[in-house]
Amino acid sequence: MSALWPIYVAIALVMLRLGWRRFSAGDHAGSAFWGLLAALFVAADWLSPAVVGAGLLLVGVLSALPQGKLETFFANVRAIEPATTILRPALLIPLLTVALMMVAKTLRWQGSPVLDATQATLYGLACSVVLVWLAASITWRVSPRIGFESGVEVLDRLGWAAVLPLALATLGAVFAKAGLGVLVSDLVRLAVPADSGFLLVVAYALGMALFTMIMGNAFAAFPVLSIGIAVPLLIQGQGYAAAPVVAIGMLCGYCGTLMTPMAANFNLVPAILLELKDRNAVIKAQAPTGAALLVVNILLIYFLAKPA
Amino acid sequence: MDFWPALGLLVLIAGLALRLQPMLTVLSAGLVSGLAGGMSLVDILNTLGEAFSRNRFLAILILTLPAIALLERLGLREQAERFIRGLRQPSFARVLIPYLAVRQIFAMLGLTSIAGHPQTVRPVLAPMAEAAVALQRGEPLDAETRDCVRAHAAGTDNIGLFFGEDVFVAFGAVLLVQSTLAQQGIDLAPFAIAIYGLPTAVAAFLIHSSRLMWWSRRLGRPAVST
Repeated sequence: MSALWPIYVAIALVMLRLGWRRFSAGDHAGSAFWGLLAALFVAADWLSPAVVGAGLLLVGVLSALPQGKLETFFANVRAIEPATTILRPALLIPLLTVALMMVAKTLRWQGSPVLDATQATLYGLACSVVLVWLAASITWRVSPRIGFESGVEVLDRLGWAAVLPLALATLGAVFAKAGLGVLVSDLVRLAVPADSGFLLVVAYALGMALFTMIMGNAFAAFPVLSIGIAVPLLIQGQGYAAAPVVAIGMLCGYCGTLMTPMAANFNLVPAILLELKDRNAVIKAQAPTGAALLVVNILLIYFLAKPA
Repeated sequence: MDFWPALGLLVLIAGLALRLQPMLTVLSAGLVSGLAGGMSLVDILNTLGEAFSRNRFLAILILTLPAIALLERLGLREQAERFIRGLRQPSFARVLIPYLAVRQIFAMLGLTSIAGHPQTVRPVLAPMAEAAVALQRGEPLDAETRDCVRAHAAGTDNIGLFFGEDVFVAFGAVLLVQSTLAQQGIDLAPFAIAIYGLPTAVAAFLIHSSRLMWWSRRLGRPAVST
């Protein structure tokens, strides 16, 4: 069982509520979509991975069926006087997240940490939003149901887009297993003459960015291109200094992360969360910075690492 | 060279370009890529299922919705606007550039989860940036401008995070670089790797804040009425 299981159950509860409300509204496809997803979230640890994969494909088919519209509960809540101190709980979310994360990191069971850094952060965020939701309900004397049902309605507006990042992550895994990574690194090596230092730097940097854009993750690109190009051809072949080449090489991958929908967590999730009409709007906003920085990185590698 | 796995990439690009249902497009691209790369159907389903289980945490944004929806119903956006109105000469750049600097510095200290899209961008940063642009223009924002401002708020958070965290010695990327090179027989101290993140961090700040200043001027002009 995953250490994050309680968080998955909590997520599934929100999904189940939306599925139930869709069912009441007479929308069976939408109800099945959220119900099945909730079931997969809770039970994935015990089912065989192939069954989970098949369930995910079924969720994909359900997402393509036409869905109805949902009525808003508590439509009159907007009439509440704007609370003048409401910025405080909003600022409490990030502060509590960090504080709780630090506590969660120190938890130990029989001498070994219970949670790794990522899990501790997720618990910090999950606990802080639940605490702020309850505390704000109590402070402003509203039923906690108002927050919960409003949250369900936001999820309804997001629809399948809320789980698209998850689908993209599974695609990245299949791409990796199918051999797309080997193909990219072969192509890069094929295109580069091994005797020009500058062109090798360009190939390594662009390869990192391109591979990251396809896989959605610079960590997946780094070992392939560093072991394939940077170490044998640049560092050992041309005598370039190792630390600047690989440290800045990793940052070239980060430039790629700014320019791809495959890095869903950073680029699609905020577009969804901010309810932007264009799902690629965040990528468009940051891509010029990413491209300019990639050029700067190429020059930095060349001038900082080149042997005298 | 085996070009078949790239077929899935073509399916993905074609499906997104033709505006087919994205969820279905993504899963079909996975199927095609796996089959073309010589995987069996059970293999593909296993890979999909394992990746789904491992990445379920990506859906944590769903858990943040009740708190954020409640605060917004209680008037969060109005309060963020009021705060911005209290500043002297508020502007798009004067909200986002300090945020970028603070985000980078915190990330360099290893405090990455103190900000983020659910923690700070949606509840605080985006409403403040929107309010600042509305004050610059002297009129409420149209939907297109509002989306543009929000997208830049999210992008600024990403850039601050990416080009700050790499300077932190205990960060995963630094450790991955160190261990990958160690396997190749090249020993580097994590500190030597982290320090080379600094020039890029400075360049990222300079490039992005000049872009924000440019956008600030552009967004701050009232929309041309025709």
